[in-house]
Amino acid sequence: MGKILQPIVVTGYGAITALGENCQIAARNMADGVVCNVSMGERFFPNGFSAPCFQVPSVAPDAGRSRLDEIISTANIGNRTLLLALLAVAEGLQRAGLSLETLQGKRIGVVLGTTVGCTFHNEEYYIKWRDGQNPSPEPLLAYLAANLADRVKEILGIVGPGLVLTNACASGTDAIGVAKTWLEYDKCDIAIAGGADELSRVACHGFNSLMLYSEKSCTPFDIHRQGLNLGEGAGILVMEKQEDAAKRGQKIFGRVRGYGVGGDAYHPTAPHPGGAGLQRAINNALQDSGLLLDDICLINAHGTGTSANDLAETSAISAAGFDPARVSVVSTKGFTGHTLGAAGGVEAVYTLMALNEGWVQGTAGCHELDPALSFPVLAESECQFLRGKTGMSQSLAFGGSNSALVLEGVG
Amino acid sequence: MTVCITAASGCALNNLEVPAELSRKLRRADDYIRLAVVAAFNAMQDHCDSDNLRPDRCGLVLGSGFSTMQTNFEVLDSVVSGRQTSPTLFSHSVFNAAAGYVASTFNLQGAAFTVTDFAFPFFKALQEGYLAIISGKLDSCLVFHVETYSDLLTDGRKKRVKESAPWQPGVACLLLENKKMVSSAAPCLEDIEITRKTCAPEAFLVGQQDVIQGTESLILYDPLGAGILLTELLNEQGFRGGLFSVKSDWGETRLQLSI
Repeated sequence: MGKILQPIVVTGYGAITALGENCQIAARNMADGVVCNVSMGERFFPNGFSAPCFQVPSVAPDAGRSRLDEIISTANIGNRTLLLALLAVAEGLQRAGLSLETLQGKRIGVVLGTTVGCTFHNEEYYIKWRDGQNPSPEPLLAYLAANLADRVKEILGIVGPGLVLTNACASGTDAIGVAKTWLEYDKCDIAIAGGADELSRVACHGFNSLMLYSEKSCTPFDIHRQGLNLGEGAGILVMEKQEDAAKRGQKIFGRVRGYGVGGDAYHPTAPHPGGAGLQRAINNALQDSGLLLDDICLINAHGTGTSANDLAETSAISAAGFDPARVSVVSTKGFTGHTLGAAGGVEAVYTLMALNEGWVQGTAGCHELDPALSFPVLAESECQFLRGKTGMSQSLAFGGSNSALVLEGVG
Repeated sequence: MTVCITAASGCALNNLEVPAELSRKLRRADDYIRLAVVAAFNAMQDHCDSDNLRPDRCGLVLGSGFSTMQTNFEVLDSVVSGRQTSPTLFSHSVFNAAAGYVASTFNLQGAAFTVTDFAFPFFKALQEGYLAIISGKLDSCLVFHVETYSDLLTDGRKKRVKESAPWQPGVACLLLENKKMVSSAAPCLEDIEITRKTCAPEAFLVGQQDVIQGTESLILYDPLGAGILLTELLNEQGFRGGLFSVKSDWGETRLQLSI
């Protein structure tokens, strides 16, 4: 099994978040500084607590747009995470010029990260079972039929390898990294990779119990930050070998140049204070890309807005040796909330869009930068022209798993 | 490049013995985490001094169908009952909790992946571990299949599959290493193929798998069965390799093993 020595290119991308139901709307809203979160109470949080969540306002597929949209609008989808994933996939495939017909006969790899999308949190079923009643088996059977990658493949009618990664908040980034390796080792012809997650009451309760949830809009890297807000969404890259994309005359939106992972081996939920694992992930991603530190002009940080994350992350960026005069660091979670398993996919898409635009919007919610941070971050009022076309998107996760992608734009 | 399997361990939860040196680390852990950490300990105990286990070059891939389902329901119970959610319980309910525990317990700083899949959790994890070594990202990799199911699932299954024996929680674990760094003879994983086909979801509750090794064939109904059987075969004196395949309603896996 040998490595194919040709670049892995991005021929399509799609994302759906509270910021916008597609990439075009999200880009416009980000440029306008629009923050769309809604204060949620008991529906998502314990009694007496309310806080913002970043919910996707509209998840209705546009049935008139393409055959795939028609399929999505009529398929028995059953769970919101899958619907979010399919909408992002549909946008990505459309941008990639790939109809369902053109996917036939090809090996399509589907690698998706999720957290909530793998759980069986059907409260009605659970309560009936707990109370000794005899719940109808349908929800349990629907759960057994709901593996995200398998369902996407079934609905699209495609064949090829599938994988669901549940590496907590790094799942989406790892999915793209695994897909890159699959293409490099010829396990598939085209890869659809990223992440998807819906808002979850259990996750809201859980992050609140860890005292990581901010009662106000999250303010990553701000001195007054109080924690994260959860969000939902999906972000997908359509990836191919460069020669294959060229053969079909497809426009290229960028390249996935590198991917690296580094473990903290430190704590179940807290990052290593110095970001030791993230430093290794950054170094491994750069090594995989064949690029140098100075080639990176943008870092889309994990930037959740928790005290520990933001300190550890900027420590790692500083210790890795990045030059503040050359690289712009931002977090997009002030616009999207923390979309958990989707975050890596969504942020890879938004990173690539910024690299292609040549400028980046500052961090929504960050008004007064925390002076304790080891590396400067763009505040909300700032936007910056980029000094190159290569950037990094990074993720930190529970369990001490850290991942980084090196993405190259073509703009 | 060739990938060797240098250790294999499997264990049912009711036979699990937590070594004294792990008891403090695992004092708050649930069964799912304990199974993974103890299996890793057993797989690595003869390899602690190996250069292959350089922390930043050693990783893990953990596969599961149902993952932390029992702990998830304990968290869900607190939510629907209006009780305060335990932060420890919540952190243990996250699907990669066991991978995080294994990584921190044994200072593994390479990739720590969790694969969730009803069809081929172990073999997909094995495939990714194999690829991580082949691609040079890791020198060694622990591969797991861990299942603890849940009381709810056990009840749901009992109602749908009336005559089948209950599934036994447990773990199967392999240690993969780059052959170039292995001095003694060890079985090698030459190839792994997975073919998935669509099936009714009930098939996952029935769980029937036909395992074929050489000329022998065995029908198993436990999701962990094929993984545990593979660990037993690999530990047999005189194991000579060959094809190990698992067929089921949801597809087929074929492992080519050699000595």
